[in-house]
Amino acid sequence: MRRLRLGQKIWLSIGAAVVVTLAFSFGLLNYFYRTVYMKEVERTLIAEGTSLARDYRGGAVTEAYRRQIEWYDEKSTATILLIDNPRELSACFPFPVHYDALVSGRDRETLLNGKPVVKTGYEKRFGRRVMAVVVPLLDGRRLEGAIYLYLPLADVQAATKRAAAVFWPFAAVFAGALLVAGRRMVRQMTEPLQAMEQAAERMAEGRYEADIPVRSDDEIGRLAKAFNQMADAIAKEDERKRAFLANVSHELRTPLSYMKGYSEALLAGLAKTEEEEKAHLRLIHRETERMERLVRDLLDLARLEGQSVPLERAPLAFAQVIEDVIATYEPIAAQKRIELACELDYDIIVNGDADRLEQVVRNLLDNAIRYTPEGGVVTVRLSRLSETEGELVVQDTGKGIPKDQLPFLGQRFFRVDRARTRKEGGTGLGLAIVKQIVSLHDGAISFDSDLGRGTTVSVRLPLVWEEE
Amino acid sequence: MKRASVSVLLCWFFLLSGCVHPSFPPVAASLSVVISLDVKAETVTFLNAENGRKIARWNINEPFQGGALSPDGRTLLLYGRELDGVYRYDLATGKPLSEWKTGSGIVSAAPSPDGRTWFLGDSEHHAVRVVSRVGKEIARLSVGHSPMTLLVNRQGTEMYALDFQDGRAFVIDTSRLRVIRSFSVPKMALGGLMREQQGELWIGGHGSGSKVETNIHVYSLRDGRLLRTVAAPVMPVDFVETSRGVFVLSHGSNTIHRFSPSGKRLGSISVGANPFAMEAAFGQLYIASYDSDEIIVVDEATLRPLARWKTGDGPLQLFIREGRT
Repeated sequence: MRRLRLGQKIWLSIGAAVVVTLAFSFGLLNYFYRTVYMKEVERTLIAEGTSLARDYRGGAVTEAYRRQIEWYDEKSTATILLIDNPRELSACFPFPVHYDALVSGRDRETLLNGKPVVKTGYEKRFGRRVMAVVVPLLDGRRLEGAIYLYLPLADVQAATKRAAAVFWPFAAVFAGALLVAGRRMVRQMTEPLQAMEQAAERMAEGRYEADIPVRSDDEIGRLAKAFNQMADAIAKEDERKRAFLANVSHELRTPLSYMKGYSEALLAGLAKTEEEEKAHLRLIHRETERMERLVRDLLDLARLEGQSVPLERAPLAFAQVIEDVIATYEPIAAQKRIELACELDYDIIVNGDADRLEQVVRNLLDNAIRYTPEGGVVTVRLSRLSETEGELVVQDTGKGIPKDQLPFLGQRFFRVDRARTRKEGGTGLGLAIVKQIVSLHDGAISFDSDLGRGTTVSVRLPLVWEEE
Repeated sequence: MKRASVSVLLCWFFLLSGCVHPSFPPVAASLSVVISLDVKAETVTFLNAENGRKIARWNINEPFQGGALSPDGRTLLLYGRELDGVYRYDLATGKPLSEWKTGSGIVSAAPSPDGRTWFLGDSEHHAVRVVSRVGKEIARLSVGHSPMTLLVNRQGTEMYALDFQDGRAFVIDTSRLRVIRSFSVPKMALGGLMREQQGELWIGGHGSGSKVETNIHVYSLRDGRLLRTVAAPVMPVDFVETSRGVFVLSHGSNTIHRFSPSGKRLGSISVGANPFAMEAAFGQLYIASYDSDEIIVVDEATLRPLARWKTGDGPLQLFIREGRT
């Protein structure tokens, strides 16, 4: 058997529910109609009988009274009998007279108590099912007679049939409308699911555009939205991966082509002087170093991202680390005539990996000094923001970064000024590494910049909680 | 010790609840009482015959349908189609006597005038069973299906068993214990009166089918010939003859008809609601009114009602037990 689709299943369930509901409501309607209608008929018969019995004046049933009942019988829809035969009234009940009286022995007891008797069912005397009411004609404790009113049950049931004749067309229209509405609802529900299924298949083939229509704000709608977001994210990640590969190959190719060119020149003996030869070799060496740096940085980043080398964390005085790094940069700064300003809070203790944090400071200082023109100032500030948080700020007076580029800072191989950076020896991975290390230390990094005025990098790190 | 007393108590409990019929309040032999068998309530009510005060009510709690009083007025018998025996009670002590294990189907009972034998109408064996004073079956005489009326003559030599269903009367010679003849009577015949001086048997009844009986059928005691019918509407079922005439109770019309000894109709009065039983004593008639649950006392001479005494639900049969000094 073919497996049913979800939509078919839901639609079938709705259909079944509709059918069951209709059948149930018809049953209920039938039941209520019958009880209410029968009760009404019963009430009417009792009222008629009681009213007729009121005209009885006691003593034996008179001929005049009999004629009165007969007259009423002709006018009334119900059949009305006046019973005064003691046999029909089960007067001989204590004796086994074997007579199927209209009023049974038990009914007689009820009648003797002045209460009417209601009987519904087959009555042998009339050969059909009837609803009958018997009202006593009592003279003290004497049951002188009884008025027996009955209606064939077929009349009563015909009313139920009329009700059914009205009910079923309405029910059919109702069911049709419900099923059509249900079909639409099911389609709305399952269409996004089907689209997602198809999109997932496309994704497996490498096509990441999903674009599932979002029609509702329910779970399915939200799922569709999330699916779209996921597809976007995958597409972007894929894009980034491609760009990264392209970047890596590009970055590697540049020094390689230098090295190839100059070495070929050397081999071909194009360098005329020893001086020229040395210059060539220096260039090759420089490019080799660059490649080495690049490879090292890539490896570093890969390790940090993959967390293959865990951090060796220990409480350390961050200011000391910074001071040591600054010391190594002082000659370079002096060479560029850049002033290195320090404002360090020596009480700040960070639970971190000393080497990695040193790398953070070095990379940030590297960048700051690199982009700060001669005569500029690079300020390094370490301060306490709160009991639990410290901030390292590296501020330069460089040319700054356009605001719209700020969000891309820290992405691999992102460069504000591609040509210049490469010339100045950056790998384009420094900030990415910083970002990764900060994040491993549960910290946060932010950038601020004004074009022409300089850039500020803030790194916030959690501090070691000093218990009093 | 404690355990022993508990088990004794349990034994008593079983004895009282299971095997033995319970005892009832006694009815002193010196009192004249009207005994009403209230079949709806399944009770027997004893009323003081002088003032109608209730002396005792026995809750039998068994579906009995009728009873009989021994000629000495000491023993009350109760029977019923569904009961598996005939229950007997000593009035003076209220204690049950040993039950006669007759099996079910007993629909009538009558003692011989000397009290030595009892005749039981059995609708299951379609017989009249003759039993001794202690309940030993002496004879079983085949009669019609349902011998509901048993009439014994004054000397106790002959008994008439009226069959309720088949419409036949059986004449039994009580000394030879043999059915000597039978003759046809109306169906659903019930109640009768042997008028030995006149040589007549008056028989009442309900009438069969939708036709109700309105006549008394008078038969010859000699040969069972139908002598005449006497109108006594509707459904005459009980008869009493006293020095003041013959009284006939018709339950369908709640009427007592009075006839002269020669059978001339003297008058009638309306009484009770669906009365089934009538007894005469002390110059009065006592009528059991089934639907109104009472005994109506009527003066025999004037036919004027004198009193109404409450009974249990559904008094169907009456006895008058005269007190002995």
